[in-house]
Amino acid sequence: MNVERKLESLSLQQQQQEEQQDESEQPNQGVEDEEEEEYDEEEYEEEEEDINFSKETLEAAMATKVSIEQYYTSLFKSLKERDDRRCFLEKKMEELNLREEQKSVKRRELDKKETEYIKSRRIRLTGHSFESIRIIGRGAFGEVRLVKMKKNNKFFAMKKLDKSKMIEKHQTIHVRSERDILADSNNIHGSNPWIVSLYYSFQDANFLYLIMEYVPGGDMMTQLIKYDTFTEDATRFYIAETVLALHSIHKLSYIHRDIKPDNLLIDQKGHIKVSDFGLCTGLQTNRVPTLAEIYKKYEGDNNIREEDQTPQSRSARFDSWKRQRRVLAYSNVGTPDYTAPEVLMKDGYSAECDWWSVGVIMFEMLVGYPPFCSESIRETYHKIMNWKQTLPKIMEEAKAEVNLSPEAQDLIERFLTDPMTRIGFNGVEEIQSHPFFKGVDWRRLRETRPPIIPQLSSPTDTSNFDHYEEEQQPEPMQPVQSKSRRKITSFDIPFIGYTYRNFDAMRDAFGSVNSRDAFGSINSREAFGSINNRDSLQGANM
Amino acid sequence: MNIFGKKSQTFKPKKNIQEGSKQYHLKQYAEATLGSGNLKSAVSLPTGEDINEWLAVNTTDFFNQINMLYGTITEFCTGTDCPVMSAGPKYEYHWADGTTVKKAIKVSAPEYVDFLMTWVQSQLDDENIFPSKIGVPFPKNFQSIVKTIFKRLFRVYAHIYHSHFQKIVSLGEEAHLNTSLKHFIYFIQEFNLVDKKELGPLNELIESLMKNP
Repeated sequence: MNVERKLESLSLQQQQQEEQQDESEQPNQGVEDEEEEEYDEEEYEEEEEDINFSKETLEAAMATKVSIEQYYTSLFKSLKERDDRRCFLEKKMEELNLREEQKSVKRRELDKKETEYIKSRRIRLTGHSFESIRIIGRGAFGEVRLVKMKKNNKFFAMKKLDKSKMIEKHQTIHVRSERDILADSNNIHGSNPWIVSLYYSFQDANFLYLIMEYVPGGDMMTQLIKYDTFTEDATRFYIAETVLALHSIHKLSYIHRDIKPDNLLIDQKGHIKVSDFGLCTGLQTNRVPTLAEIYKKYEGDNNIREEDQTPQSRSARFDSWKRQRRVLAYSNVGTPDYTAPEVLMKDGYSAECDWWSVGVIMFEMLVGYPPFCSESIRETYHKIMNWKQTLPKIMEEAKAEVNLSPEAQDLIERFLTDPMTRIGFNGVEEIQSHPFFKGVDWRRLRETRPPIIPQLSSPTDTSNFDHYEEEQQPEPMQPVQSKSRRKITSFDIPFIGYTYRNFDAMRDAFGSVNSRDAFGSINSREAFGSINNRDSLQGANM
Repeated sequence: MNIFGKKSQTFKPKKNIQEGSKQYHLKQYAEATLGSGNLKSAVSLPTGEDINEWLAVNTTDFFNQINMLYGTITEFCTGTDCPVMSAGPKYEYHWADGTTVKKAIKVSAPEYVDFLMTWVQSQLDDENIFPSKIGVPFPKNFQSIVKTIFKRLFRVYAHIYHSHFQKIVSLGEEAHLNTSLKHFIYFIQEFNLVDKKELGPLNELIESLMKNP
C-alpha cells in the first residue's frame, strides 16, 4: 500500500508551513508496476500536441491572452501617467517658487488623490450603483439616461448598450471606438473641454455602460428645430467652436466621421461639446466597417431619373426636413446627409472628411436644411456622390432664398469640395484665417458669451431633451449573482478591457476630504490653482 | 487499483517522470514572456503611496489573472486527472481555511482551486479587510492576510506549471503565464510576502525566469 504523504495543514492559525522532510521516500512498489511501460519523452510530447481542445477552452484562452496583454499595457501606461503627474507638480511648484512647507502640502494633496484612484480600481461598479432619473436619449442599441450615483449623489449621463444587439449587428468595434477616444482624451492637463467627459465604463453579462458627463443643454439638432435658422453671427460662433473641437480630436489622431447636429451637445453655459464617437476611427483602433459597405446597395443606380428630382420650394423642403429629422436621428438606418463623398466610396479618407460635415452643418444653420436633403436616402446619396453637378445648383437656389454673405458662401463651398483642395487640408489655421471668421478671438472662444444659453431650473432639468416614454424592460432584472467568478465566454471577447476609471473623477465621485479643511492654511487657488485648471494651463500652453 | 487502466496510451505514468527532465522541460519555456516593460520597477511602491492600498490593488489584479489562467485549463484539470492538489511529485496541498474548514482535508485539484478562489474572493469582498470607502482604515492584521492570500495563489501557478503546462503551451499562453508569474515573484520579493520554502515547487523555473531582464 502507499505510504501516506506528510501533508501540510493550511490552517490560518499556522502561518509557517513546514517543508516536507521525507525526501528519502522510495517510489511505490506495487502490483501496478508490472503493467507500466516506458514512454519516450519526445514521443509523449508529439502526441500531446494533437489533443483537441473544446471550443470553450479555446475561447477562454483567447480571452485570457487578450486580457493579460491589455493588463500589462494599461499597467505601464498608468504608472507612467502617475510619474508624469508627480513631475508636473514638482515643475509647477518650482516655477511658482513655493516654500518647502507649501510644497509638502501640495505633494500630500496629490498623493491622497492617487491613493483614492487606485482604491477605486478595486470597486466594482454595476448598473445598481446608479439611480435612474429619466431617459434622455434612445438609439438602436440602447439608451442614455440621466442618473444619480448613489454613493455621492452626483449626476451623470449613463449610456447603456445591449451586448447581444451589438454583436448581432457587428457593432462591437464602434462602442470600443467610443470608449477608447473618450479615455484617450483625458490627460495630465485634465479633460478636453470640447469632448464629453467619460468618467467610468464597465460591463455586466448583458450590457455595456458608459458613465459620462451630463450635458444639460441638449443638442444642436434640437436648437435648429426650435430656431429654424441661425444668424451669421450665431453660425460663426458655433462653427468656430466646432472647428476647435474637431481640431482637438484630430490632434489625438482620431477622425470623428459622424459629425452632425445631433452629436454637438450644448453645455450649461452654452458652449459646444462633441459626443458619440461610435464611428470614430484612430490609428490604433481596428478598422471600423466602412460606410461604403452600408450604402453599397445604392451604387448600381448611376442615373438619377428626372422624375426623382422633385422640384421643391424652400418652404416645402424646409418642412420636409423638419418632419424627417427626428425619425432619422433615432433610426437604425441613419442618413448620409453629413457624410463626405470619399467616406461613401471605397477610397481612403482622412481627417478632412470631418470638415465636409462642418460645411453641411454650416449650410443647414444658415439655410434651414442640409444641402443634399431629399425625400429618400437614395436621392440624397446620389446628390452627394455627384456633388460637382448638384452643389452649384443647390447653392444658387439657396442664395436666391437666403441672404448669404459672400464670405459665408465661399466658406461653405470651400468645405464642400474635393478633399485635397478642401479648406483645412493644410491645417486648421487655414480655416481660422478665412474671412468669414474675421473678428473671432480663437484663443478665448470658450470664454465668449454664446448666442444661446440654456435656461435650467435645476441640476436635473431635462427640458432641453425630448421626452421618452419608459419602455417595459423586455427581460426582468435578474438579481446580481453573489458569486463573481463568472467564466469568460466568447460573448465577452469583444468587450475585454472595457473597464475604465477617469483619474479626475475620483475626488468628485468618491467624496474625498476637503483639502482646505484637511490642510488648512494654503488656498490652492492662491497658490497656483488646481493641477487640472485648464484655463491657466491652456493659457500657459498657448 | 489502477484507476488509469482505461486511459489511452497517450497518458504517461507520473512515476516515470524524472524531476530533472521535468524541470528542464519547464526551463526551456521560461524564455517566453510578453516583454512589455520593466516589471521590477512596476512593483515598487510609488512615491507617496499607502503601502496597504498598493498591496490591495495588486492582490486584486493577481487574483484576476490567476483566475483567468486557471480557467483556460479546467477542461483538463478534473477530479479524475488531478485527484489531489499537487505541484509535482513532492508537493501536495490539502484545504483548510481555518474557519469553515478547520482540519485540513484532502480534495481534488479542481475542488481545492475552487475553495481557494472562493475564499480569496470573499476576503476581497469583505469591507472590513479590503475597505473601499475613503477614510476607512485597513485592519491591523491586513498584511498577514495578504501574505496568506499570496501563498495560496502561488499554489495555483505551481499546479498549472507541473500538471498542465503542455496544455498552456498548446494554447499559446506560455508567454502570458510566464509574465504573470514573473510579475508575481517580483511583487512577493519586493514586499516579502511568501517564504522561500513555499516556492520550492518552482524554484528552478523561477531562477530561469528572473535571469531574463
